[in-house]
Amino acid sequence: MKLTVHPFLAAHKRIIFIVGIGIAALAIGLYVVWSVTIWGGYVSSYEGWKKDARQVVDQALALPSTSREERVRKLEALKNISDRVEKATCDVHILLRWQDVFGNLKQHEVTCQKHVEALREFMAAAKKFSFYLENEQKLAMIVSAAIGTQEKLVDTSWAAQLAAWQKAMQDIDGLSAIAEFRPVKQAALQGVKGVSDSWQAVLAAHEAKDKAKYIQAQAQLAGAYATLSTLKTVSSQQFGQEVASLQKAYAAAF
Amino acid sequence: MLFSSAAGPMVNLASTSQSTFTPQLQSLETLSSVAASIKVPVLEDPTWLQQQNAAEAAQKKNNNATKTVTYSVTSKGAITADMAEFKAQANATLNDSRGWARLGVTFQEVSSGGMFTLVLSEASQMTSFSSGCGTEYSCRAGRYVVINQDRWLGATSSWNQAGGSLRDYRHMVINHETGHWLGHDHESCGGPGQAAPVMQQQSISLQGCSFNPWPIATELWSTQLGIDKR
Repeated sequence: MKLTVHPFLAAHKRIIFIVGIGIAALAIGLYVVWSVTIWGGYVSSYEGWKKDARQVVDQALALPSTSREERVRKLEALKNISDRVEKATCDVHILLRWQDVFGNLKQHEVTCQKHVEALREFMAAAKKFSFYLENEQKLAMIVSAAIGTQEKLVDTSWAAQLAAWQKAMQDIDGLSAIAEFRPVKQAALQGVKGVSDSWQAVLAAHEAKDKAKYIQAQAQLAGAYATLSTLKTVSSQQFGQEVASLQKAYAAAF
Repeated sequence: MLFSSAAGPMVNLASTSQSTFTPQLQSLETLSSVAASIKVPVLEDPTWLQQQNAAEAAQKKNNNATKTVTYSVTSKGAITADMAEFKAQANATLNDSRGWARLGVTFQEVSSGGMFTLVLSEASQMTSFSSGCGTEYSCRAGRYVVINQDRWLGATSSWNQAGGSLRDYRHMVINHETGHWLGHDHESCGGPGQAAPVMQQQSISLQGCSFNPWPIATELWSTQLGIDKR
């Protein structure tokens, strides 16, 4: 079958050729300009974003945290900084990607990816840290509620004490803890159980009006409270590890 | 697309240049401060315990109470014995830890009066205290605890023959006569070989017991002082 050429095309072959060449040259020119613009801003864009990310992080870290409200606000800020990096990418447009064979463009990409990875690790550490803080603050509230404010307790309030510590035990048991917080949760659970058991012993001796058992239960209670207060050490140690871990991720990222 | 730009507010350079933020985070830890505030509660003693404690304290106070028994010392008739020695030895006997002091009492000599009067009497004057008193032995008559001077100076022949010392006899006679004032009657020997009760008439017969100048455990009571047997 013979291919037929449109009479118009056949009559204007030269013009069409010239126009085609012109369009192609323009496209190539625009592509080159686009490429130069993108690659030229690649490093400065990355550095700018990194600086901006650090500012956001530092600002969150610098927030005051004296009052409970301030601590909550700071915790929220720490949680939110991770959102800033989720969109971060070193991807180059598909039409430009082949160009990394030239010069040190590939190296820029590799460097960018390393930094993004470090940033992501920091943000993950910050997120984990914020979860840890959430766990920690919930546990602190549970224990704080059970401790109460009364220093001298009359016998009519002892049953309420037992109930408060039993509730604390249930609440701690139901606390969904991240892996890093589990040692603290476990220590708290054991300590609170000891206090709860001791209150039970006090009440049993009280009901039986058994002086010897009452004195023994009082001593047991004092020991249980002392054991529970060692939660401070466990918590501080674990918290210190978490801060160190975050600090390490921060140093790697920035 | 390359990087998305985070449009956060600018912070000062001082904060952006920080590289250690431990202090900024340390204040976020709340659990350790809560744990540090844990104190052992003070349990107010329940009523039943207060009552038990009060009863025990009263009992203890009663048990530990030290009563002071006052007495005066005098003499009757012609006394050749050393009165100063009599006073000193009588007081030592009465307050000896083996004697009536085990009742929880302290004997205190006073210049006059007192709860009873200890008398060193010439033998011939013994009957002047009571028709029940004889010239041979010592006796007690009402508030008077009367020691026969002859016995004080020479004990009894049976005591001396058995090898008893004069000091022990003096212990025995003071304890025995004071025992009457404390409310005791005479006792008998509890069994051969046993220590004689101090209220046994050891000057007359030991009844198979051994000499003993001190009150035995079963004698530690006094109707005069209101001290029950323990």
